[in-house]
Amino acid sequence: MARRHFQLSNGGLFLLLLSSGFVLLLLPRSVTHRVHFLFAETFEPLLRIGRRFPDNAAAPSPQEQVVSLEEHNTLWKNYHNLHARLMKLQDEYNTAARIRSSLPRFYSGLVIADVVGPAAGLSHEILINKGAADGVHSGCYVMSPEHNSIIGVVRETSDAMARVRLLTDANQSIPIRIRRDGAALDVAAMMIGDGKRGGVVPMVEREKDIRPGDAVYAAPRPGLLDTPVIIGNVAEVQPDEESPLLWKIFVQPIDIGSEPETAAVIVPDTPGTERQ
Amino acid sequence: MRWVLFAILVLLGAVLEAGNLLNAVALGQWHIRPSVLIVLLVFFAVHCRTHEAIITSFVIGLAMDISGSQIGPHTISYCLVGGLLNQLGEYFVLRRGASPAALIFPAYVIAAVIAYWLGALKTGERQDYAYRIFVLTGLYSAFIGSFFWRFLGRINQPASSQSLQTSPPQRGYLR
Repeated sequence: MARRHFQLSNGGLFLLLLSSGFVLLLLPRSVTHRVHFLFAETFEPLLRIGRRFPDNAAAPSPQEQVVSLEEHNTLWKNYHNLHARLMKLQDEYNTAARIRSSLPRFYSGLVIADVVGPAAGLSHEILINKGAADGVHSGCYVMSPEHNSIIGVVRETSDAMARVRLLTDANQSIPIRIRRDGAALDVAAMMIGDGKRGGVVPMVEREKDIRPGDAVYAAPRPGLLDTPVIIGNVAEVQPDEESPLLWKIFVQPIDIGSEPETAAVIVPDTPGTERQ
Repeated sequence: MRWVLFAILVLLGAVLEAGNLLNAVALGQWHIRPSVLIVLLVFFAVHCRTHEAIITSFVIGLAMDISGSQIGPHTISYCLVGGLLNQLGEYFVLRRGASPAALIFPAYVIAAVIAYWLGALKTGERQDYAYRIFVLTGLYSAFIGSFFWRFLGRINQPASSQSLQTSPPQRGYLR
């Protein structure tokens, strides 16, 4: 039997693959984001390479590795003092934790995650290694455990991972409140990322007395955030060029650096579930 | 064409694009990182036969999309830019010793702008500083690509020598 060969011309191949590209583009994000997460989950160990660069990568010289006996004895005493202080702090922490457990919850629940992917390129996003299986879902607020401030919002999740859009992303908006210590100021507004390292709050009436240094909080949202949590502070207040009756406020979020190591996702507990 | 080697290179490039290693060389407040996959795209588009260049451009674009946050924009833009580079390949002064940076920079900027427009068309999301970031990333990629180019030429010797034997009529798919 004669075997038929189907030979595609170069032009045909080009058009076929280009059309495939358009089909992929038109696929809904709910379908395509699984591919991203599959890739990230498969190559997670490789993606993590370079996560931690030591501040001082240079190895100490032989002279720096050796100390005198007198210095050794001093360091040894300091070490024991520090250790004793650590034990005391640990006792205090345990006491505080017991007290906290008996009080109404401040946050509904916190899921601590490691940051896997970078916040690089056009979009300010990071990948974290906790997903829907841990109760994380899109819309959840994400905190920096080191700085105790909101740094982003979960955009989409897979079972084991989630993509977090940082507050500095130009497409991320978040309801906020601007407050000042010792004053009755409490202004509700929306903050939008500026695409660099800050945020902009437009559409605030000029009759509001807002000054640089005022604190900016993420506003409570039912089911997502029980209490206001700090985001940063007001860096600059300018009249809006387009609308002279409005302020344009520049917000400086808490500096988390370009590579946050860990993130804490605020996960609201649903009645009847118990998180570990 | 060594397809296994190509697949390994693309996978490595995608992992580098999505991973943290390139953060070690990121620059400035926009955290500009070089693009590894654009160097691969230009290299294979210039050095391969036409049908190979089309397939490699598609695959590299897809890898770029998978390592990013949307599927489709880079697949299309890399397909277009790779095809264009391959068509114009015989006119490039690259083989006469000119720097590949002169090719990588415009290729990156054109591909990134097309992908950005397609992405914005789909999601409606825009970035204020996108074009500045594209130019800076293109410059950085071109700089890094000049060094990477020789390495690619060495490990992919058959592909690069094959292209020199390819006669111009075999290369054009729109003719």
